[in-house]
Amino acid sequence: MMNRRQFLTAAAFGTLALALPARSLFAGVQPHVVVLGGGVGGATFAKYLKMQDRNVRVTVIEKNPTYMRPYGSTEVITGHIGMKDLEVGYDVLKNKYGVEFVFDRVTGGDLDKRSLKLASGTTMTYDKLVVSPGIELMYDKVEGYSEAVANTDIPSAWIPGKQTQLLADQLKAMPQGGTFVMVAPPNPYRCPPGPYERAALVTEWCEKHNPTAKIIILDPKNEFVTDKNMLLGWNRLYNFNISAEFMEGMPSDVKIHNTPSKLEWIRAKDGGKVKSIDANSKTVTFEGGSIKADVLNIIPPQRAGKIAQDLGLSDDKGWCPVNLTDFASNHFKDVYVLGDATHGGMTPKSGFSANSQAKVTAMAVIDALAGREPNENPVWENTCYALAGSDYGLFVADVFRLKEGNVMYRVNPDRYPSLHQTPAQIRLGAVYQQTWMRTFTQDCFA
Amino acid sequence: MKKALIPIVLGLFAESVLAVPMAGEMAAQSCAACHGTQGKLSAESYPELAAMPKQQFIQAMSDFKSGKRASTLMSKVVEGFTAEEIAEMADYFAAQKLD
Repeated sequence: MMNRRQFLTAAAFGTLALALPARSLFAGVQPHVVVLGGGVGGATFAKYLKMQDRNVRVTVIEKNPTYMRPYGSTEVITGHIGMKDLEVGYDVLKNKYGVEFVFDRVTGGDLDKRSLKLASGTTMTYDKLVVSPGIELMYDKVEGYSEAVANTDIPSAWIPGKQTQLLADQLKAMPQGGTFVMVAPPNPYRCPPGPYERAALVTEWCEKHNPTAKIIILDPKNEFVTDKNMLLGWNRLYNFNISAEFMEGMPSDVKIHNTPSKLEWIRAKDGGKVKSIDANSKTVTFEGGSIKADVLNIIPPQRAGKIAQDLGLSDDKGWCPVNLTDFASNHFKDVYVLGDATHGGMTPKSGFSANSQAKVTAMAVIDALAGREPNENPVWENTCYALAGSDYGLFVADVFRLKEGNVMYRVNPDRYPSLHQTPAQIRLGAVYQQTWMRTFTQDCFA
Repeated sequence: MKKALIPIVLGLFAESVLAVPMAGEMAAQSCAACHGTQGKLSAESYPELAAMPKQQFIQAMSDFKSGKRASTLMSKVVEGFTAEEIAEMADYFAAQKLD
């Protein structure tokens, strides 16, 4: 038996590389881990569990044989990439890591008996279940809006698919001088800087193709993650007026002026909260007035993916409560929940968070199968890259840990870029954002 | 099934420690979302961490922390890890072979 020092020595001499693929606790018995959902959380979990121990049987149950990545999908709307570029296959997870896939839908189950029912009529049992179902968009929470309207006239495009292409087509067809209205969601929601990045990229697109257009964000909030960096970018690129309360620490090149910007952000305090919409005329009534839009994009309130609700994993707030050490469900034994669907402590609802949670939980599931306690000092990371323009990158970066009583906290005091970054650093942020689309997809799916 | 599983697994556990993660492995995995699984990348604008000499990794992190080396976000991320963890992550990456 190797002790840790011998193990590290083996690692140093490279024998580990040979030993790694074969390492296993489970030569005689093969525990079965079932993963519900093949998105970022589920795919990363399956891959890393197989990397930890190849002899654990891992089956992913997923509706679609091809994944469509939500991160970066706004770039389809502005034509920077196409719908095809969002597609990710599962072949590498199957062939290189030995993850099994069942393309089916879970219709119910008895989690006390560790059993799931599939639409095909099959029953699937597990030793451990990991549920990573993403979000459900609650279209009906916006009066006058519905999924049917979203699919045909007023896309949300917050889960990529036909609505993404619809919004891209509508933007292209918008009359010169038209008005693009985005309704931003209330907290918490998937991809915190995402709505503001989308508004920025649509504004950038309009500068080139529809220079007299207006872009208006109606917001039930007064602030958002990365707001100061984003507003600074908007000011530099689109002549956006920054209100006084965001001015502290801003660099001296900020343009203070009273001319209207083509991009306007109407916050809750200015009456930005939407009351209802009239789908036929694309008119939005909000606390501060009403606007008739030419293109209307509504990002509705969200909760955990529907299957989490159906299986009883969520609470009255609509998200799944978990034990933060290992993301085990508070509601069922032998069940874990990952990604946007969880309350997740402080980790934001981002792909990066889901990926990070999945790796920590993969280790914890191996520990649980081996009858060990999970690592008592887990660490998670999050980075959300965002663009204020194609060459204007910004980010939020976090490292999270637990302190006594399982309270999650952010370790790094500073999480945003300096407002005094050089133009070269800002541009590099945009290069890194594009790089991340590739390297992150690989870490999850390849 | 669970009752039966645990004693068998514990029995196997006595024979093998290989499924125990390396020191620093969990922390190092948090790098992978940008820098590639096990730090392996090819021809990307992020540095490849796999097979990086231990001292080079430690020096880079220390320079990000002190501000000696300019960065976009590494100066924030490095604040999340102790010196001991950074040394363990350095061991982990030094042990990886390039594909």
